[in-house]
Amino acid sequence: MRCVGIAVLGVMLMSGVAPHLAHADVEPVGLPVPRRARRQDVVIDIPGERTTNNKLLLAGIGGAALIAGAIGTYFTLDWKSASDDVAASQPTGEAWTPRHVELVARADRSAGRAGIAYGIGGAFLLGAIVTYIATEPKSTRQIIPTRAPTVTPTQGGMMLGKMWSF
Amino acid sequence: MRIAILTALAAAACTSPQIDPGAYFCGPDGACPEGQACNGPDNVCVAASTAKPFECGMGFVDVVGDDTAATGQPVTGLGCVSIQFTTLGCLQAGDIGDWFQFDVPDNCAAVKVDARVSFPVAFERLELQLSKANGPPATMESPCSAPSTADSPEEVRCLSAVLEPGAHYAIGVVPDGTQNCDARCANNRYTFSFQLKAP
Repeated sequence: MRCVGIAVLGVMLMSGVAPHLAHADVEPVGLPVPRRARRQDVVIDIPGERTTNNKLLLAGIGGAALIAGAIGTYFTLDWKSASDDVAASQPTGEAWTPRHVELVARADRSAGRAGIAYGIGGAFLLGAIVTYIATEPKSTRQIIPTRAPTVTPTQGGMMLGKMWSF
Repeated sequence: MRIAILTALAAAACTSPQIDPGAYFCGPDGACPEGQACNGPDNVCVAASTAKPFECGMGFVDVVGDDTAATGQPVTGLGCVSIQFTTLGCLQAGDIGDWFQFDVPDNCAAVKVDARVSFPVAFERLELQLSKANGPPATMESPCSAPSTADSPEEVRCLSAVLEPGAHYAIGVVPDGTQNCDARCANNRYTFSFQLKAP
């Protein structure tokens, strides 16, 4: 990063010299216009800012991903609960009854629903990432020439300035 | 990180519950987990390819000729308050029942019989019948003191009745015609016990 130094060589001219410029709210003369920077010019990158609508859009898509993920987690936990109740690798001492059949069916149902929810959540998440990248606001570059001095009208006179970088 | 967690959870959710052969006894009508079948000799759910047909099994005897009250196996030496008579029996397909006949001592002031049969739920259900003096049998069922639970591999049925001193009775263990896999598992093995006692 370059340090930018601005020196102002104030030359207060008498108000009679340029009475029509003696107002502080008049635009300064010699403001830089974006163009190809020369070596001595001061270059400032101004990052773009996201609009409120863009932020809301991103928040909406991200929120939808979060909700879908939460639903997927709920069904995953339900699947785990049912699966733990019925899964067995050792003798349980129990008979295989309709209750066990229902537990297996519930586990399979929840597994399917969790998969769907994660799929939707993943799609939203991907959409949020793509939207975030695609709607990234452009940054603008401000080039301030340092070769020419600036003349800025002031109350009762004007100010002569010169900028350079070091 | 979040994507990794979600992916892991999704992957975990894709598996079906793991149920190994031998983990469960057969349920009603020989029900077993998917891919498994009821093993006849021990009513345990095993891999379908290794399942064997029903057989009575060790100690469960199918006595020939005890199909009626009049021809039932005699149980002798009972007192007004008897010791508990227990036997293991078996009903093959087509067997209409196993009967046990006995005489109530005539010197008892009052006497009742408590009988109990337990059998696997995997095969045809059994019930208890009582016959007096070789007359027509009557199905009788009383609440059991220790009933079977919902997931129990065995079902228990009980009979409790006041008997007439000096009379001849027979108790039958007979199939009730339900849960027999559409006649494919119309058989069962059982443990039968009964005792005379004061009412």
